[in-house]
Amino acid sequence: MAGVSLLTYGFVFLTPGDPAYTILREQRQSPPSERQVEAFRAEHGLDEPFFVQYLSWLTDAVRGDLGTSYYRSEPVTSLLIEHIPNTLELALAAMAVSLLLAVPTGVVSAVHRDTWLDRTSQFVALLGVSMPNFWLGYLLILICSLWLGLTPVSGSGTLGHLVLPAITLGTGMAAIVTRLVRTSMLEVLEAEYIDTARSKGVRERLVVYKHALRNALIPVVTIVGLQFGFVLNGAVIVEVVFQRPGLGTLLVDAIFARDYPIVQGVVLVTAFAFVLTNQLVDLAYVALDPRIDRRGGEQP
Amino acid sequence: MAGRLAVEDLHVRFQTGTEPVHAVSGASFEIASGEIVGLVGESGCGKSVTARSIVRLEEPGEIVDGSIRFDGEELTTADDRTLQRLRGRELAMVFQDPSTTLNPVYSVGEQIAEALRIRRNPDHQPFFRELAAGIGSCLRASRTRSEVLELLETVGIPQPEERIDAYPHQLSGGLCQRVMLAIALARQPSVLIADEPTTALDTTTQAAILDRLGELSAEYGMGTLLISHDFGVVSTLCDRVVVMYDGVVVERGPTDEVRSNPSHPYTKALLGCLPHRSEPKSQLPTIGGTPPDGSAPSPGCAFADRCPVATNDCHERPQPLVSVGQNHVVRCGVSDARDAAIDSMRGESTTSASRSRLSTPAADGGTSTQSTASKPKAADGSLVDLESVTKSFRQSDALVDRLLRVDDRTVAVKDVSLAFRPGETVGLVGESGCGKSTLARLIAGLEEPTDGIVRLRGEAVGGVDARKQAQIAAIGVVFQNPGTSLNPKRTVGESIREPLLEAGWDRSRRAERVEELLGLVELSLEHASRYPRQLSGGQRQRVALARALALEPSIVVLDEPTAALDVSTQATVLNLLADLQAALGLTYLFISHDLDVIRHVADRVAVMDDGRLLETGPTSRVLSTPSHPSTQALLEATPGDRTTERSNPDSDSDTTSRSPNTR
Repeated sequence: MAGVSLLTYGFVFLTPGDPAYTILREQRQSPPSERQVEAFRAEHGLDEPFFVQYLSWLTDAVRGDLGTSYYRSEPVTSLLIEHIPNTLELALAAMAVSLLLAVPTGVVSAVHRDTWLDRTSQFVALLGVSMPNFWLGYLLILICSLWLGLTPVSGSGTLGHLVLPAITLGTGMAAIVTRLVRTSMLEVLEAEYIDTARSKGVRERLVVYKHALRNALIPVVTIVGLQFGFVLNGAVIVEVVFQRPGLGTLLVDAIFARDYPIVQGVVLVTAFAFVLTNQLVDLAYVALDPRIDRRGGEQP
Repeated sequence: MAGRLAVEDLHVRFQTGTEPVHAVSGASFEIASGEIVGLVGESGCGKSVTARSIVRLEEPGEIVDGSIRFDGEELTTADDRTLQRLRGRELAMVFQDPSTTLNPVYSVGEQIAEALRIRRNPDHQPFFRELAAGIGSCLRASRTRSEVLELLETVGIPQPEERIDAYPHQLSGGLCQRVMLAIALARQPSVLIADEPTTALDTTTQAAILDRLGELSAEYGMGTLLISHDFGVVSTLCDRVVVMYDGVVVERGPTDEVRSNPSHPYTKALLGCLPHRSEPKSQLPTIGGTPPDGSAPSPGCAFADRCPVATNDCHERPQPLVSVGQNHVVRCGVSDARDAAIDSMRGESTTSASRSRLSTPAADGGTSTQSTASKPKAADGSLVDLESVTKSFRQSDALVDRLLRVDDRTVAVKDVSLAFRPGETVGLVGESGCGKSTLARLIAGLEEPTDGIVRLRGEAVGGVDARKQAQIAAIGVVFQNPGTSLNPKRTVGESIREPLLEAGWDRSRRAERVEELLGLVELSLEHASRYPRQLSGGQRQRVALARALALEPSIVVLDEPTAALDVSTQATVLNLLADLQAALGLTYLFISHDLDVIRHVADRVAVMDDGRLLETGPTSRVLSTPSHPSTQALLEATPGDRTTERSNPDSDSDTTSRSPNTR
């Protein structure tokens, strides 16, 4: 986490563009004078050397204070708290969409290996991976909202607002997970314990869903955990396309405005979410796979 | 005999990329209630496929002809529902390797309970109830639970209460195989098919499982099909034996009959390969030639190419079934072949060829003589010397445990002192988990001793990192399973070359040495460019041996080098080892749980149990008059030896009268 914070701070510091100049020009609708710029810099501590800036930001950040937005003059922490639920909602919905799509498709693909069912789903999955998020988003808006009038074009709040962004974001991931589930299932279906189950007289459907799927999901969980970072990434684009007020829109606006504290805050939160999901993945492992030692680390 | 299960003229084919492989081409036999039938043959002869076809798990193979009948019901054309019912209630199967045949994510209790539920009602398997049953790890229904406990007890699992909620990885191989047996028994089957049920287990566990299997089949009145490549296992337990070769049943009859009076040349050859039939240190008989791959079935007898007494007719016409005794039939029309002695089936050609090839590099002053030359240097003392070596492992590597200095160590090797003199073969025996392999790793430097000293040529050595190049070169290691000890992504040549590369040999010397090594292990140069998966088990083990010999070691540690191989392949590898020892003056540490093999190769035997060295001494003394009770137990557990040779004076006298000829 400390590494991430240093890196983002460093990158933001190195990006061209002077926040003082940009923000002041925006505020007064005219190029600011040299002195005004100096004053702004002094106020926000921008005239200090890099490491002094970083250290003061870091000490505040540890206390939960991520600074104040240059532009909106609001504490970054409260801005983040305001925007996080929207993005979290979108990310979770997208994950749900992708898993609901991917797991059954992957299983069916594996069970009916090399049939037209498998080929079709593989082709669709390939399309899903290749299709850029923003393009799919506009396409969905065009079809569902403008032509069919089923869903609102943009904004947030109701379930209707969530559907299209979740599908847009979910499909890309679903495509990857489908392929993964398929490969993993194919491998597991070759295992001898599957034959054992069959030789017991277990129904084929139960062989697949009870005996094979649980084993096949173990490697999938790792990737899904890693994919969560990808989802947050994608959320930035999707939120802009659908004009949802989330972390993504906040980040993009902040970057254009050279509103450094917000950029750093968002990146930090994303990194934190990433670490958190990986912890959750480990917990999911324990639930799925009894071979992982439950006692590990919990002993006094 | 009215068989409950009758297999008739079964043909199973595999569709491979280019042409179909005939795995089974015409297998016929019957199993009656309460009878134990053994199915014997080398790997790849189609015995597993036959067994799997009976429960219709022949996929990806395909039954193309013949019939399998159970109580008059045809199985080859049965629909899924019928199969479900038959699998759930009548035909149970136990597979070879218990570590892969139990589902790792469900508790063993649940896996047995599932079989019980299916037995009760095979047609009614509610989807969601079954899914939910798998998720809760504890069995709740008390009736099922007590039934499961009863089954666990029946198959001889101690403390079933503690084991019922365990997962397969928490149990030993022997216990897992008992669980598999419990799953099979839960169905109260009419026929039990056991596919090499004890091959993956050590000798004592094997004996216990086989005993239990015998008792249970008598108790339940089950017909049992016991599949094995080990004649010893089969003859301990079975009433009748069916011998398969290349997908064809070549001989079948009562066990004693087949053992005392084997009539098919292949059966004779197979029996001749068993190490305990031969004089220690003698050249073991092998079956000459290579087994057919089933891709192009010959019109005649499949064994004809390897049969020393084959006639032209054998190659061209299918052989008739000839009755040679009561219920004893053999598929061989040549009466000379049927009457021939076991010894005449030895593969003379390979052995003599190997001898001449071996003598060349040693005689022409090549590199291999250097190792013989270096031998006298160390001859006065022992080559490798273990002085009260102890090795323990931490049970948990958790950071918390380390910080708190929780010291729950398992001791794998306890206070072992052992010396290896140049040129001798030391056999190391013991049950699995007794510390044999750890001891081997200590010698090779793959583990560092927790206590005690390992000396090489009188110098104390540590782990691999601390050893000098020459010290590393002095020890070669061959592991048990060549399928996993060779890197699948590297060609044979690359694998053999690697130690040379590490030792800094230049390119031309490396190429020369690889060629020489391949010659030593009787492989041709073309094998160098192949990948391990393109080789047979025996060939892979030769490659592993070549790699171990690359740097001209003076001692080779062989960790169960033949455990994964067939009898006849085992015989060729053992012969090769003996030849190499004679030519290169090698010292062997030969680890095995197979006492017949040890008796054959070792000068001295060391017996280990629970990390301790129980006794050491000359092979003949330790294995005939063991002083330690644990050694006795180990000796008694070896299948085949005791029962048949005691109950069957014929075969005993056969062995003794033949031994002088074997030389």
